[in-house]
Amino acid sequence: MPAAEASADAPPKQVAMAMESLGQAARLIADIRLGADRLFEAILVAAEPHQSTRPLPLIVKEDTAMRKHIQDLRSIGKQLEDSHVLNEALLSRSNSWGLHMPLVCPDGAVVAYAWKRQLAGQAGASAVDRTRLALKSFMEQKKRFFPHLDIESVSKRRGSQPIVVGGKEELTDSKTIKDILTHFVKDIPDMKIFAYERIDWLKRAASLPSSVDEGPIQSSISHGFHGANKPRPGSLDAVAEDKVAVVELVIPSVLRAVISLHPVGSTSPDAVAFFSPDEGGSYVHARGASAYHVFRHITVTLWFCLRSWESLVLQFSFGLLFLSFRIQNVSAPHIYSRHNHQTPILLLQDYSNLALQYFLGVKTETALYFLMQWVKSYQTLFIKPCSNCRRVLSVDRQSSLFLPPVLRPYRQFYGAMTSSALPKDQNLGKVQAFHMGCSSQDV
Amino acid sequence: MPAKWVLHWHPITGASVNTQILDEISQGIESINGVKDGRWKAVLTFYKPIVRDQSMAAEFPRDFLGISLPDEPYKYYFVVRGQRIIVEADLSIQAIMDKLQSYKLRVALNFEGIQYGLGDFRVRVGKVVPSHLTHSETMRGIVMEVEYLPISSIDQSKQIMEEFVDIVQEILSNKPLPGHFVHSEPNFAEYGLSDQYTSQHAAIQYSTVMAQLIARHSQ
Repeated sequence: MPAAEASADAPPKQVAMAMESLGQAARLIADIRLGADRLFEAILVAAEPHQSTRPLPLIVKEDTAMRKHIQDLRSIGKQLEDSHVLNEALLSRSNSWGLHMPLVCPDGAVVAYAWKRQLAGQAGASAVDRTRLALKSFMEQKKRFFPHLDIESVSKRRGSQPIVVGGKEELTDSKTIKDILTHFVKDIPDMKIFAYERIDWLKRAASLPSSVDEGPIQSSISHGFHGANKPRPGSLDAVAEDKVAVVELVIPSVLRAVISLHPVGSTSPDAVAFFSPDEGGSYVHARGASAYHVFRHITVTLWFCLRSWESLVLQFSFGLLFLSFRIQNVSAPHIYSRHNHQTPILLLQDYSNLALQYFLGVKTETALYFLMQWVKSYQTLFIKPCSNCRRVLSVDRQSSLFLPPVLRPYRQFYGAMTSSALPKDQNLGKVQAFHMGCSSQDV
Repeated sequence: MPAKWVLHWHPITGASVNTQILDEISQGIESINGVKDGRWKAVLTFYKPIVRDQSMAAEFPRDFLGISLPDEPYKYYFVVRGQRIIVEADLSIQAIMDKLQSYKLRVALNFEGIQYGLGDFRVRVGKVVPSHLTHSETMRGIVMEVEYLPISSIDQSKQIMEEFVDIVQEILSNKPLPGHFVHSEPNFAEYGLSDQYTSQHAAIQYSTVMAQLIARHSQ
């Protein structure tokens, strides 16, 4: 029997006090859990670039709070032990009906009336439940805080998406992302194509600009990669097919386009951005924006194009959004937010409406293929005159910027690609280019 | 480095270059939304060899130029146009030359003025004055630099640069001004340079402009 040295209180009072202490303990445990969550979040924030010192005071604060909670918990635990509520040894005493009240089972269940068998049964059942709950909670936390550890990846379940391109013999069978890229590499020798895992792209972006002749192998050497047998990062052999998340297209001396694929390893692009081949830095990614107006404007036109590939509803809502915003200082979602500049964004109303109407019919599976073809058409960005005004440089009326023809209407382009039997280069020669203000409704 | 053109002002016969013309040019740039961005300065120095034996002097190149550029504060460039030589050196080379007493300064000229931003373009307009007379009103010439920031390929940017310069020329000719800008592109390949623009290209462009200013003066 428990020694009465802890207090001279009557058992009911002991029970009440013990229950209260247990309640306090439960609250402290909840506080500790919250603190752990906050620490996780702070660490996550600290992992982002440019934010690494911001969460420091938060972390320190949480640390102190956590320590206090754990200290309090210990003292309550000690209290409960002293009052023999949390005493495991009691359970092991045989022939005891286990009538000590209240009792905390080894698995944490609080039992007011302890009946041996019932206790055993309850402990067993609740242990299973608790394990299941704990596992579920851990999985959720893991997904939330460590997304890159998602090993049983969505992409594996979906598999590589097959694409079908009507009318093209080489592409009528199902193709994976690598197949498409390899096909392109052979098809278009002037454009360099690289594929990366997302994290590898982040490293490469930060090391740009490499000199024009320096491919990924040079920059990787300068970063201390050794081993001549290792395939160069970025080359199509170096990356696992189901991990391809970023495709980089480089037209030397003209532009660099970064395409993001979602889900990883599939063939559906979800973001694209254009940059100068001399630009580098961590902002060079599929959702970033170039420091130069000409590339920013192309990115925005493509943004509309991609959205229309994805969903009908989104198309119309964004079309309406832009119709109602009519220019000045509107930040098109995330694309202009990074760069604070005074020149207003163009109204792409005419162009986006065309895109919206047009891409209703295009299959999603072919999106990547045509996206890459379209990027290729920008090879002549700085040399091809506008099909309307016959000049390369023109002042854009709305932004007062001097821009080359940044529009390559993809409708005609798509039509030319699929209907004609001519080799691709000749097809592209027919692709027209327009300045923002030069395109008419008829196009 | 972004591709760049360097042009010099060619006045009509009999006309001079003065501050008024420079101001009109600046206004013209501002009228197409040029935004003032700061000042710039380049210094060109003609060197003359220090030789004990005067007959040796003939063996040295006559047009040995040293150039300091605003975009490269830690570099110094040497150009020998006759032999198509361009050398990029550290700024400390000037001190070395002083110590060696191998060459001395013959004439130094400042190219200085205001810089404008126009979207993806950057334009610099400036006067050419002797270094020791920077505050005088007499200027030897006017130069204009046009840079297209997004690309560094000279070939790719050629069309765009031409059209931009045409636009500027048109604005200036409407003013009207007694003269126009001239662009004569040096043959970079002869100096061993590639299509990618670098400060060495700029140094050569400046030496070419200098040669043309001298030619004009001697007419």
